[in-house]
Amino acid sequence: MYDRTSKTKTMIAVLVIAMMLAGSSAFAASRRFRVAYVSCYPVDSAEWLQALVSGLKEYAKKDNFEIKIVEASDSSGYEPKIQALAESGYYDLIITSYDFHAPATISVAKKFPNQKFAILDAGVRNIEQYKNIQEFKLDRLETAYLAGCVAGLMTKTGKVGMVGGADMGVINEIIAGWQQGLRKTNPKVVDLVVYANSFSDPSKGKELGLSLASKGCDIIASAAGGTGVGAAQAAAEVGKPFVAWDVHYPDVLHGLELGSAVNYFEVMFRHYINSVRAGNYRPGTVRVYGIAERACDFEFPVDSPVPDSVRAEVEKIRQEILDGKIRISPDLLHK
Amino acid sequence: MPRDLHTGCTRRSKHFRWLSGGWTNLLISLVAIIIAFALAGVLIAFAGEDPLNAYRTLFKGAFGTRSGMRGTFRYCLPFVLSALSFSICVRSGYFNIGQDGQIYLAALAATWVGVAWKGVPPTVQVIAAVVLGVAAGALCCFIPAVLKVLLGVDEVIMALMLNYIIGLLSTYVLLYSPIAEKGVASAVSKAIPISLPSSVAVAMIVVIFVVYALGMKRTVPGYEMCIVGHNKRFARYGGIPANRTILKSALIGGGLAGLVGVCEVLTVYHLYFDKFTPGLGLNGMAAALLGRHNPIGILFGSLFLGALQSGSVLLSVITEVPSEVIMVIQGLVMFFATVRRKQTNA
Amino acid sequence: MNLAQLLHVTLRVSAPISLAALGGLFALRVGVFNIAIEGFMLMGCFAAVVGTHFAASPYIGIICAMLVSMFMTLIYAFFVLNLNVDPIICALASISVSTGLTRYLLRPIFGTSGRFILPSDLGLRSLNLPLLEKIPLVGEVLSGHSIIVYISWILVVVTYVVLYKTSFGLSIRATGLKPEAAASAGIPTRRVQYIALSINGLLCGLAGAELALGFTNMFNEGMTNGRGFTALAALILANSEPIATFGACLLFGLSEAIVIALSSEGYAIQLLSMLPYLLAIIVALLPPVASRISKLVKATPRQS
Repeated sequence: MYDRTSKTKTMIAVLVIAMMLAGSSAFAASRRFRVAYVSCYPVDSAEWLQALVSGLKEYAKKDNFEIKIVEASDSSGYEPKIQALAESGYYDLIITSYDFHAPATISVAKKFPNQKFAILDAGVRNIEQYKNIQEFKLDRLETAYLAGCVAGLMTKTGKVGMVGGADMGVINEIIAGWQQGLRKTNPKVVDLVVYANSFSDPSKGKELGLSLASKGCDIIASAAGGTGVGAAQAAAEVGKPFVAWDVHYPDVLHGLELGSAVNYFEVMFRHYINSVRAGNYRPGTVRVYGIAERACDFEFPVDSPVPDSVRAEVEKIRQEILDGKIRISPDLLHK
Repeated sequence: MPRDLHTGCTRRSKHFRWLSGGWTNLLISLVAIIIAFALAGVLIAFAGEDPLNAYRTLFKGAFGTRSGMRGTFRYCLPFVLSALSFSICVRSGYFNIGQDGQIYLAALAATWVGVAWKGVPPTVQVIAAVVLGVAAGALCCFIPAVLKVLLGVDEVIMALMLNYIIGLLSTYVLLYSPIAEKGVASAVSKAIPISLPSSVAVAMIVVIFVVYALGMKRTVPGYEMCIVGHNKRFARYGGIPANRTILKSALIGGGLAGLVGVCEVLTVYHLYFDKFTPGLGLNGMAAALLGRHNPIGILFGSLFLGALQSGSVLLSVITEVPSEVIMVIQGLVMFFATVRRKQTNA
Repeated sequence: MNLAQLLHVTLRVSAPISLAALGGLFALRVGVFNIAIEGFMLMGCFAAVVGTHFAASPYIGIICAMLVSMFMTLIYAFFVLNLNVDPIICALASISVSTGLTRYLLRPIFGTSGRFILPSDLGLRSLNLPLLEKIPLVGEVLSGHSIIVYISWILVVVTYVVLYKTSFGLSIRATGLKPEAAASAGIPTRRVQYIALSINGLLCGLAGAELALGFTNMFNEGMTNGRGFTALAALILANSEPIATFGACLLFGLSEAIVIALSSEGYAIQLLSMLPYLLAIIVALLPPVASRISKLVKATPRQS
């Protein structure tokens, strides 16, 4: 077993010597690269996480690396689990997630200076001072902005609604992009925002979706995990178009889905892991992935009712984003 | 409706019997735990893992490594405190289900002192944080107790509602107040610059435990609490101020739960995550009930639950046993661990 | 959102809560304070979706939900009544087992994780009441619910009748109040407790089925989201009287509907969501405070 300390120490020693002798890239070829990902949410709680987990397992086979996924969603498990992973000395790279794991990652990284750490989207302060932590993130603003653009063009009543999972940073960033996108294509738009306070309550999501529809919203959007499915069902029930996040709901919406802002976390992770394998580990920096890296995009499903003229306009805005002509602020316009 | 339903039907008197039943019960408990692990083993095998290896890992994670031992100890201590908090209230017939609220309010108070008080010597600040936190916990437990004593309002509903309200309040404070960290993904406070050294925290808990263990058995207030819990009217006949005793135990119980919250933020995290360590109150309650309110029993109950938590760290890191199976194991073990010989009603 | 819509939502939201509360009522009335209804409800949700998926009929789903939930409560009853496990420990364990098991079983049964969405034609249709529908406000409020909502209203009355007008109800109440006395009066208390807990299971299963099939047509891990505890609060608030319990559930439903209606107005959602709980506290405080005041008022002239 690899967790015996003496063996671990020998292994680390061997590793270090081998690296010094052979150089890291030559060594990496001799055995499989080992990555551990620590998730701060239960892995089945949100669509992007489900896609990330299954995608990572698939890419691990394709690209020949080893992936271990650990759930640390309870604050009392953050540090012990990250520490146990580091103690094992088995993994070449340990990836943790969001600001939940930031303090624990920083404190463990100090204790294990030879262990490479990466953290997903944590906004670590003064990251340049850490010698073995790199941050990487997926820019959710761009796709949210595009989603807003589509809805702004498609609304007839000029009123749209958004069901957010909870009043928290990740979701508010999405809503911020959505609100700015709406105003880009439809300056006079009125947009309502509701929060469900839960990512696992479809019943609440449906109630909120119906209430938005009854207030005159003719497009409903939702970024709320399982709660969001309820909102999609509400849209289907009242026959209003729907904008989804991270998934498509063809069986729920039957041709009412305008499109979905899909974030390919698994693609981003693959990019990132492979770049670290290739020796491009840059601790103390933040690496951002976006549409340009194909880590996310706004996608129209096959049965999307969006006409070609609108698609062309959205494509133009997409190009502007790629060219860096549009600045999107992560701050909400209103709640 | 008889009031004592909350403490577990008509068998409440059992809670006060110290290690009743003796060896037979211990034997039954052991057999029951083995059955529980066997049942959970089927699930583990179903998930494609070797149950024996999983249990070996679980044990090793709890006791086999230094950090595992430390983890067991770390999880065990707050359980002991919150179990004592639950126990002391039950003794006087007050069902304290509001520990989560008390813990979070206390943590909030301590975080506020730690983050917002500036230009105060750190030692003073730590003491103030502990005192205010404990006071906040006590207050939060005291309100339902006062309402129960004065107006006869059920404490369970008050505590449940307060739990929800305090949960929402802390999310709000951690998002919008000056002590909130802005521009992050979640609701979390700014880093707390002060710290309660773990040695001091452990010492406090040990002292509290010893005082409780001796105090309940050998002092007048402990005896009074027991009598009030057993039979309020009898206590009044005997000249014991029943209501005052209930309030007293609620204050102490709330204070203990408050201390849990304070220690979590000042000793462990040094910041306040929204809804940190969920289920602390429930686990404490479980530890108290597993130990049947006996101090030594509480110690073992907490140790057992702490070991399960700590062992599951290594289990999730080494094996592929899904986290929900660990949850089921904990549930099954709890189911079986308290099985006991049928007793004639006392 | 107008008044009729608000009341319509109130009835819909309170149905699963009131079913669960009625279930808990039977347990409480035989002396078991069952805080596990949250877990039983979740099992009900899951079984409802499994049954509906494999039998392609929501009605089979409902029956599955009730049976599975009853099976769970029977295990619970066995541990509590026969093996002398503390009811609260047992309840906490049941909740943790149900939460874990439903999450886990999604994978082998459906091959998905986190949630499973049923095809939309497999849901329970909402029923329009033929005559009532035509009455302006009343029709809009009362009509257009799923069948389980209507059943839940009937069950409130049934519960009341069973509890107070039948000999079985008398046995239940006697068992809860003084088991020793009931036993010496020849009531088979153990059997009464088992039957009451089975009813608890059936009702929690029905509550779960309403949550999963009546409105949303899917299963999501943790989808009960505290409704079991709300039901418990309603039960205690109403001192476990059937009609009053239903009233308390309506109160929670109404405040939830208000929260939903006000959500888009830009209030801080955390503060807004406190409404149901604050309301419950006020309602719990009102009667004793009122009786205190009336006592004081009566007492003053005598003193003067």
